[in-house]
Amino acid sequence: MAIDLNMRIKSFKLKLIFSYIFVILLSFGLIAFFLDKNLEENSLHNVQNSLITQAKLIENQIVPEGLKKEDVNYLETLSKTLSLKTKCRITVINIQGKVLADSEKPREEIIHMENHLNRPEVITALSGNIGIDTRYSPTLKIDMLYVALLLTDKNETLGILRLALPLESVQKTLSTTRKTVFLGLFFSLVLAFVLGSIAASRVIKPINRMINASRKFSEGDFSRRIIQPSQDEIGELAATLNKMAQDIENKIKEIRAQNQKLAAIFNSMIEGVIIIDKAGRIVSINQAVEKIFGVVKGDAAGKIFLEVIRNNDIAEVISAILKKGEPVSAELTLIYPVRRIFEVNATPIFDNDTIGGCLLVIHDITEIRRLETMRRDFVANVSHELKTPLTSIKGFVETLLEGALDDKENNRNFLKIIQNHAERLNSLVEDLLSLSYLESKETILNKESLNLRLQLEEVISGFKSQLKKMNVAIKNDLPAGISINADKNRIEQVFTNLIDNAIKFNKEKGSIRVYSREANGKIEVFVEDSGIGIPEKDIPRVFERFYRVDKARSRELGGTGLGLSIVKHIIELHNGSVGVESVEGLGSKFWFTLPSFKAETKPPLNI
Amino acid sequence: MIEAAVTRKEKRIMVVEDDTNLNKLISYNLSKNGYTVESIYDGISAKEKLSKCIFDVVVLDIMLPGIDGFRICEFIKGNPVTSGTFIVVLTARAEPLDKIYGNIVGADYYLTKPFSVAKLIDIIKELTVVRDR
Repeated sequence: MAIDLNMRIKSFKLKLIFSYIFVILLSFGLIAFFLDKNLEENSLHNVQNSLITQAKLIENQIVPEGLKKEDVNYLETLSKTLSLKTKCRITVINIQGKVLADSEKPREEIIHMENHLNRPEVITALSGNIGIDTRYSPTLKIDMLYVALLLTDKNETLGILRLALPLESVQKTLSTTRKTVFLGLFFSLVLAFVLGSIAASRVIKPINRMINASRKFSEGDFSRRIIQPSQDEIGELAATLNKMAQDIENKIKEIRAQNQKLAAIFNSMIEGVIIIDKAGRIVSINQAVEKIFGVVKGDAAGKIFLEVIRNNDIAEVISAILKKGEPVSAELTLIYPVRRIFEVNATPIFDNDTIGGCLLVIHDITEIRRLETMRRDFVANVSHELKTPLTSIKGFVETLLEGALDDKENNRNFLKIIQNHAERLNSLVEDLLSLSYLESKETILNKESLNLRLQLEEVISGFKSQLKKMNVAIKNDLPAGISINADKNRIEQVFTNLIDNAIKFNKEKGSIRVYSREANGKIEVFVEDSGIGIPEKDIPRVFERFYRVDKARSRELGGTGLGLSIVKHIIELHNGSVGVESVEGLGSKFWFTLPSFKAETKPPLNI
Repeated sequence: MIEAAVTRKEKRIMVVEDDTNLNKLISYNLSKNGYTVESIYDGISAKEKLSKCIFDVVVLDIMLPGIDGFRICEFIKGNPVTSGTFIVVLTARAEPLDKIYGNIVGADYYLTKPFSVAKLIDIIKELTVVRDR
């Protein structure tokens, strides 16, 4: 990556230099081309003109008589003399094309020279114009410029004069000029290279800085900023990059904060959440799922659902949703490790119209179901409890009306039963009202300072006739000084229900003892009887509503099955607790705790 | 044993009801109407009694201590000796599920508490008349 970038920078530098060189080469090439052409034409033209002038001057010096006679000696002397002066080659040709004299050739060779009538400049000269031609001379073996003109005397054509000049000088001038141009070109190129390099470096340096910064950005480090080198386009680019980095950094911070919020929600949810990808693998689970199924988040990610959570019902929900892409809702029961009921709501996650996975929300509804069952059972129990006395009342009234009224043996007894049942109905309704009042969250306790011993005395006095009837002795061993902060009426109800039970389930000549113990800022009150006791299997359930150890006996004694349940509610409302110890046949010991008065006003520091 | 039932003049009826007063109420009225009544207060005693004697009709409460009414129903209808005995079920519950279950185990009649004593007598009369024919 870094190497690649470096190569690109280098190539950019080279590109810049090459473009400079290209421009220089092109302009120099064009200049050289036109200069060369112009110069060549100009110098050739100059040489031609001077040659023509010289030819015209020489023409006048030639004596027509010598020509007419074709005096070779004369012509030779003349041509050689003039040739020295003009530095031209001078040739005299007669109109038949025969060379009469040539400044550069001895007489013996002239005789062997070929006929010159076919030479282009001679042909032009014969037509009366000045003949000009440039060509390679096989005689002298160099490029030559030829100028020819017709020699006349009084309209009589005498011959042709031809002047020739080597083009060497013209070419020399040209090559000198070319050398200068090439030298100029070379220096320009060197200069272009050096200047180009400097300019490229100047451009590349800030770009390099930007590349380094961009590389940092791409690696996720947005803390770097590019130093703005100038106010030009590159400076603007740097500023834009800086702004972009700032924006991305802000966005990332925002997203990170949002993610943290979401993760917090995800993990603090009571509902279990499982995210599954389209292959059925776990993407993520939350803490609730860890708790429900006893799995670890780190172990779960990336694994097939069934590998982590061995629940076929949920696995089926997942495969159904991944196949159909429709939300699924199901109620599942988990048997192991503990029986729990779950509601699973599964929603597909779409990724560009295809199913990209699914989201499972698992709600533990065990408690809801338990409460529902409890409520249903309660309603069934209440209706049963109400219907039983009602059935008796209705039946006996009917029986009396049908004739039993005159049955002297039974009629009073039947009326007594009706009375009892009416009373039972009344107490049942009252207990139900107390219970519903105690269970409502708005229950207000009218707390006051209460002397427990005196309160119990009051309750005992209400049971005098019953105690006498059962021949049961009661002993109030509560200390005289004990006061609590509690609702008088409610505590009275607690004592009433407990003493009532202690009498009802006692034996003939039995006894009841109420005493207390103070510990850890709490008062423990015990109601101990010498009664029939409670079978061990029933002990954990005696505080349940409508739970009776001996149904028939309880009903006969006028119990509603709600007394202990009411006791439990009242004590719990006072932040206390209740319990029972019992041995069947020997007696029971019910106890309850209440915060002591002192503890409530001045809580001990070490708690 | 049908023979035995037919030859007997008085119809024998067992009342299984744990509520003493209710039991007394039913027994009193049935006695008044000329039936021989056996009052039973729990499921275990009912089963014991059923193994010893044949009854024409059993008036049966469902919520019983010991063995519940449904089990007694099954016991009566599942035993060829007692399967001819009619069963009148008394229940405080009126949920349809219970009725279906009662039909499966073979109760002949249902009465929901609070029921009319007169109606119970009518039902028992009807059942015993059918038996006589």
